[in-house]
Amino acid sequence: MDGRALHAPRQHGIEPVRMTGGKFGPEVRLFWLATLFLTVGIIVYAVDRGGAAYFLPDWLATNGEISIFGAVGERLPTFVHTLAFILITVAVLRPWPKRVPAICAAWFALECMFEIGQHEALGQRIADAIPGWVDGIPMLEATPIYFASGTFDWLDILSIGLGAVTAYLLVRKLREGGMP
Amino acid sequence: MTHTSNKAFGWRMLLMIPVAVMAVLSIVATGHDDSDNGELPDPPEIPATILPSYNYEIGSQVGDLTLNASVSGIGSIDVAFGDTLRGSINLDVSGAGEVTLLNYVTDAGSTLAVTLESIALPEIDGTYTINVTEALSSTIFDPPTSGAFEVVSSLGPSVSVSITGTGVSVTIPGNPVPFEYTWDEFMDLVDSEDPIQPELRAAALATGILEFVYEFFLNAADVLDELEVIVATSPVVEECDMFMGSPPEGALAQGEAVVTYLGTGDLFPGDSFEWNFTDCWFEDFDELRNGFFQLSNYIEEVDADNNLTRIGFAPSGGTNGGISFFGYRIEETVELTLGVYQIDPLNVVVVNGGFSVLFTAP
Repeated sequence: MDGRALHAPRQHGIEPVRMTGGKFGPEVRLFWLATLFLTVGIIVYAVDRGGAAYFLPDWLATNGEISIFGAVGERLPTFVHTLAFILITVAVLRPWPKRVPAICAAWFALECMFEIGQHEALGQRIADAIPGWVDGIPMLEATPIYFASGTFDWLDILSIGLGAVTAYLLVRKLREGGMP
Repeated sequence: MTHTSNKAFGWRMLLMIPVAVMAVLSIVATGHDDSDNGELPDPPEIPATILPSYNYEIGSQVGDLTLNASVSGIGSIDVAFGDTLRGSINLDVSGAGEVTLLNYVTDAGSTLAVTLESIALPEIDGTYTINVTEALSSTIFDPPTSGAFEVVSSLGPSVSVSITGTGVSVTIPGNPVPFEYTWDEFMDLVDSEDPIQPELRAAALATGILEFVYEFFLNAADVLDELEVIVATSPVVEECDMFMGSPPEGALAQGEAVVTYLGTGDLFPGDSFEWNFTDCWFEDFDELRNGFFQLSNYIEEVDADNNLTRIGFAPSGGTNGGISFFGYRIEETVELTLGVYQIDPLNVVVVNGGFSVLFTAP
């Protein structure tokens, strides 16, 4: 962000963006923050959940006997995933700050769709409907098992919502110059 | 504010495509991997659908092994499953897959042969064959409510037993009037001290054996929906009823029953289980049980529609299977005075051998 933006008038319906730049641009900071949050999510799966996730390589998995995050670790992945991808999206689409609420809402909806897809009434049906050609495609092949063996939980929906709200507040704070 | 053109916005929106893909993939890639080897786990096993009714067979084990019961007050009884006992059983299956046995029918044509070598009752020594002549209907663990069978013996004329609303009506050729009994009265004829026609006593004994076989058949059926739980929690130790006063000499005040899965890993066809009893007292039945029996060579077949079509314990491919008893001892307890128990020496049954149990979809 260059200095001109700090004094830019409101025009064309676009609000001025006042993110402080520092050494790195705000986009980079948003990416770093997102990476940090995603790393927290990976640690939850690798340590608290003993590596019980498809995306984790063997060497990163533990035996699950250590719990870093305790009970919070149950909801942390959905929270940080929502939060991180909102930050990434804001960084990519910057500078359109008026879109931040819409971005938060969109990610909230997408994350909720996947969570609801794990509901026992839907999960197996969705898994059955996924075409067989996904087998063998890295990451994508995990889709049926995600829906068939996942567990829908209202608390996950809540943590997604908290992630979206936190992301919104964080972005607003950044715009106001309160970069952490 | 820097001016950003719509063109730039378009490019940034394009950048969102890989972001969205990455987000979606990172969501689905959190699927559990229980195999712990980085490979995609097997899809979760969907429990097979249990049908509301099954046909059943109670038959011999490999080599026509018989069921033998040594009854202290009577003698030695061998049971051979001739043409097998066949019928159907109705179940109530809850949404959670919990099975409750409702009632069953023993088909006409079913047979069971009993050979008795008696010390106490030499007059009824011989071989008896129970032929079910009219389908027997029963609710679970209760005497039959309708049907008829005959007991063909080497002693003389066949005895016909019809189930009535109140018990049984027993007809012996030559007797102008049938004998009417409640079910319990009929069973008590076995060791009755009253003078009774040998055919009548023998018929009661053979019927008692039939009841004994069905008790274990139903117990085996009742446990089939719990096998997965036993596999997951084996060994399962259950405390038996406690003698609150003085137990029979040599018996523990409170014994236990231990159910052990004899396989490894998940439940598979061919697996076996063991029930081991140590001074296990069933207060309601006044029975003290010791010894063990096994349910061996588990059979399970599921069709293409995921319906459970075959389940039980029976021989297959030359491998023996079924319910097998190994010195399984059932002793009747008697309360001498308040809280003081002893074993009735005339009511001790030791069971060896066994039979097979198999359920098939109609």
